Amino acid sequence: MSAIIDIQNVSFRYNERDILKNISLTVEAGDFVAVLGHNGSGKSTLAKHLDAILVPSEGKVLIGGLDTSVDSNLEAIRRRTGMVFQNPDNQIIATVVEEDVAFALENLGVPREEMVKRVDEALDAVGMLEFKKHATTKLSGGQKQRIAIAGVIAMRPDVIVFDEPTAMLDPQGREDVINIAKKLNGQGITVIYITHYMEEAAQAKRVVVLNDGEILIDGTPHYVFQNAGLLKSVGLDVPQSTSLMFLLRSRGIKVPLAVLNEEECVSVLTDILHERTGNK
Amino acid sequence: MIKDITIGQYFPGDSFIHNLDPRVKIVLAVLYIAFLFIIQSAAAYLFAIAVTLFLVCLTRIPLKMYLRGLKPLLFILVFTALLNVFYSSGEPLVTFWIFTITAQGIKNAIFMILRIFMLVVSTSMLTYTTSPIVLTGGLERLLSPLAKIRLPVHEFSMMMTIALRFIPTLLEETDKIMNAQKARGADFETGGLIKRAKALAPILIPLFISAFRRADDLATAMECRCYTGSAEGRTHFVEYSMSPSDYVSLVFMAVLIAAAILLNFVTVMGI
Repeated sequence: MSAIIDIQNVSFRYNERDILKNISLTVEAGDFVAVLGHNGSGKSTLAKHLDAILVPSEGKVLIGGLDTSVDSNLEAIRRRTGMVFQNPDNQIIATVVEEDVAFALENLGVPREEMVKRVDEALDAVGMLEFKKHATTKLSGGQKQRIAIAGVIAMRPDVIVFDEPTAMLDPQGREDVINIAKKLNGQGITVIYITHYMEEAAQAKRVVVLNDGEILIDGTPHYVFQNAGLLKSVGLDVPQSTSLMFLLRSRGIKVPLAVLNEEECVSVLTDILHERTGNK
Repeated sequence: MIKDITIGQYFPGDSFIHNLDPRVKIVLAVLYIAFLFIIQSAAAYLFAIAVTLFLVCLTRIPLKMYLRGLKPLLFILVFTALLNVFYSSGEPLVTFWIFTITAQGIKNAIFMILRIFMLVVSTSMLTYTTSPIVLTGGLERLLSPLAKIRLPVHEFSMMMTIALRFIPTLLEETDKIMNAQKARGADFETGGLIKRAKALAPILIPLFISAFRRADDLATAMECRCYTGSAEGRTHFVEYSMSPSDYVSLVFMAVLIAAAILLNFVTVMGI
């Protein structure tokens, strides 16, 4: 496995303000990296560097070995990297679902027969095949976001960057999107998932926390959420179950800190209760 | 309430005319306008009216809908008719004060009204039976040869497509902003024209700001999906192909024009 994303000492300055400060990060092909951070931490700016929408003020971003600051690399980079944005309304171009999914393919000059096949495949992958002839404006937010993902899948990218894709969705839509992201990662696509929902970040293979344009902590979800105190100090919340463990520990009860979801939480609590009642 | 505004006035359907290739339909509409200007004699007019009504039946959209399109033109219709009645030369039929009415004038007035009526019906037929987006697509393909002389055909059609896509989104947003301002006590319903126009500012400004933000987001999203702005090397997902009914329609149109020319030489009851 080689590094598909290689961010080397990247700084980004905008209006005299340092948004990113000397960030270095490499991502292996096939990884699922969640990027966490509060508003203004620079996480969206970082995402925009991955598809050459922004280029670093200093340092270098290499996508599959291609430098994003070289204009002749643009098409190749955008072909390999897909992006899904926060507002589903602002990334749908066509009025009919299948035409929107085909947009990138039209731009790439894919022949029509191939296009029809890929559009159907992409819509199937997000479970929206039956909506193929529907008007895009009539869909729910979650459905629109799935169409946007299908539009990216149709390009057959190596990397998909999700830039807070669930921020404007209802709980059902959020769950659909994270599940699709996990499924795509299972098929070998590298996923960068920017979010401020801890529960979503907990499902990634690796979590990177940004604070004020710098990497605060980087590691597996278990490792990152163990540092609940550090996360809280920069205004980030840990998943509720982790938070509960944190409180129990401060009361002197010996529990593991990195408990990421409700099932784990329940099993840890029942174990402790069994232990105590067994002692009596 | 604001969502009721229909733009482009498309009536979805599955009629023979609905299913024609949009490129053919645009060409047919242009030819039909030419046909309406060729007809001169009463016989030709009768023929044209019969054909127009036949086409209206073919679209399966009630005639009432077509007549609605005439309403804004009512004034112009009456005005041109009156001008024709009073200002035509020929044998006077009736004379009173400074006005003379001639048989020629009455004939001209009737013909003029019929011609405008048929023009409106036939052009409405194009927009009633073709969705705006398909119409734009058809127009782009028809005009694509003009791109060779550097006319921005692709750019124009992309602009139209995006505008059509965002109309419902922006209408919805207008509704939302209006409600938000009403909740803060804004009053849009009372007062004179100037007061009401002024009351629109708190709607328009947020609407514009949000439209610009959307435009920026959309441009980024389009770039991410490899859009470069040029039509070169692009392929099309929607493909139009001519079916037998398209050829039949074109032949029918040719026959119509030939018939109109011939009928111009036929006189009915001396007209």
